[in-house]
Amino acid sequence: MSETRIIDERVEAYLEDVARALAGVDAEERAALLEDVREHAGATLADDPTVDLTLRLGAPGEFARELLDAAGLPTEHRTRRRSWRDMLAAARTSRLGRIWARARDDFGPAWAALRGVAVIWILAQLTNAQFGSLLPWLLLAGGVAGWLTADTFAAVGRVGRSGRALRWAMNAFTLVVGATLLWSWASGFVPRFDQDVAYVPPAGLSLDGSYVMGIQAFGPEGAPTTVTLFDQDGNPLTVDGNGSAALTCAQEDTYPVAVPYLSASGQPIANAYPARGVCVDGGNVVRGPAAPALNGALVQNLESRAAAERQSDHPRQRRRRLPRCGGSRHSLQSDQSDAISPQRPRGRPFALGGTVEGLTVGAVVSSMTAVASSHDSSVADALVPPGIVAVTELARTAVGAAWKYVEQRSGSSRP
Amino acid sequence: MDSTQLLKGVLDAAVLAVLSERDGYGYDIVRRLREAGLEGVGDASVYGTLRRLFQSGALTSYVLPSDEGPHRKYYGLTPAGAQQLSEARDSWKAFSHTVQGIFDGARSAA
Repeated sequence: MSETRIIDERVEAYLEDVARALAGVDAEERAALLEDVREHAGATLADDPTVDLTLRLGAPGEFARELLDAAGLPTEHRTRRRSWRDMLAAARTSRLGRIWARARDDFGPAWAALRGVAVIWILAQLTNAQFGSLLPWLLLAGGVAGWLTADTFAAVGRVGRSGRALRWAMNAFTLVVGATLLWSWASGFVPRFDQDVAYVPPAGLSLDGSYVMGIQAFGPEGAPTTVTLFDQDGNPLTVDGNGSAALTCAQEDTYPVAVPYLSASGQPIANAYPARGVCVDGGNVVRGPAAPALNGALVQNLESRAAAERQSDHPRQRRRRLPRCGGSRHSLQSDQSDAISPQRPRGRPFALGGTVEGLTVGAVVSSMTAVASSHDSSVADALVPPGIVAVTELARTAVGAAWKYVEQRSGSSRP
Repeated sequence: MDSTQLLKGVLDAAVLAVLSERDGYGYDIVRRLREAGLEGVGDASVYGTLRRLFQSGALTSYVLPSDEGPHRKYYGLTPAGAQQLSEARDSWKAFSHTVQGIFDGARSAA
């Protein structure tokens, strides 16, 4: 009777390993045994096409030994020494191997989706294409495509040696790319503790932890005077929180409008340098960027205020001279605040010692410097986009769930 | 108790008993044994047993085409196989009776 034999690569691969284990058996006996194994493996796959023969029937070497033992044939001298294939098959049938096989079944769809993501990602890297905001959507599409083609890919992976090689190569590739992406998320978007971002000094001018909203200078006789304040780098200090005073516009009929830097909480940062802004005309039309003002060319608000007060009958002019306090920034006379500035009942005078050289703004400068540098690098780097935070948290959750899953599988497999 | 060793001693009789109902091919015999309760029976053990029983003359075989795949080799009992099964039944009855008596004696003593 002639027979058209349907070749199944999985059966042939398993049979090949069994035949190798039966290498020492008489040729006729061996052929008969292998024919039985072929029939049985084929029937097993016909019953369940998705079954893994090694998991269902056992490792080929073990199967051969059991077969010989039951057939009453000696096993010790007729089966070959265990090859690496047998050891690999034995590992697959071990407890860990079975846990791995179950996990592979459970997470197969997710792995297929990750394979699609990996393909899109590597294509984007190789072509150096600038997808911009489109990239996340392309990655998502790749994941969906990978998930939808999972069965096709599995079928291709079973076709011959080339199919198996492709399957192994793609799995290795997915593992590498997936690990790279995970590492990028974990290391690039999670705040790094080596950055000094735990404490952001308060923005603007402050004294002993209180914000300084205005500075007014008085001469030795208690009369208002004009001073221009700079920090240690020569940058002008502004107290209005606006920053416009630190800007200038070259074009006529335009005036600067500050575009303040924003803190992590979204609040404008005063005295953050270099100051930035735009020049607008009378119709509030932007005419171009504003340039930082040259040192000493501003503090208009202080000058104008002092000039205005000089012309008025301001109570400050009748104040007694302030006591000398050695120029220390901590030497404050808060008990005199109300008397000095009725319009600023909570204002506290700096003790200048009668000269502007005595003014100490150390606290202000250190605060300002810290804010400026934080804005330039640390704070900006530490600001994590909400989407990335969600993805990172999702990845962490997934890893945690996977670990719990493995632990549960290990626990359930124990006798 | 390790049922594997018990199974080893009675697998010949179990295979013969299954085939006494109707002829069958290897995969079918394994499935029928498992459905009968011998879930731990190994595929390779059944095939080895079939091979040995066939060579001893207890079984005959023939090939039939299958709609689901390759042709299947069916096994059936020979008269010698039927005789062997009958003897195995008697031996099992006597053996199980003896062991049961031992168990019952031990239980009453306890």
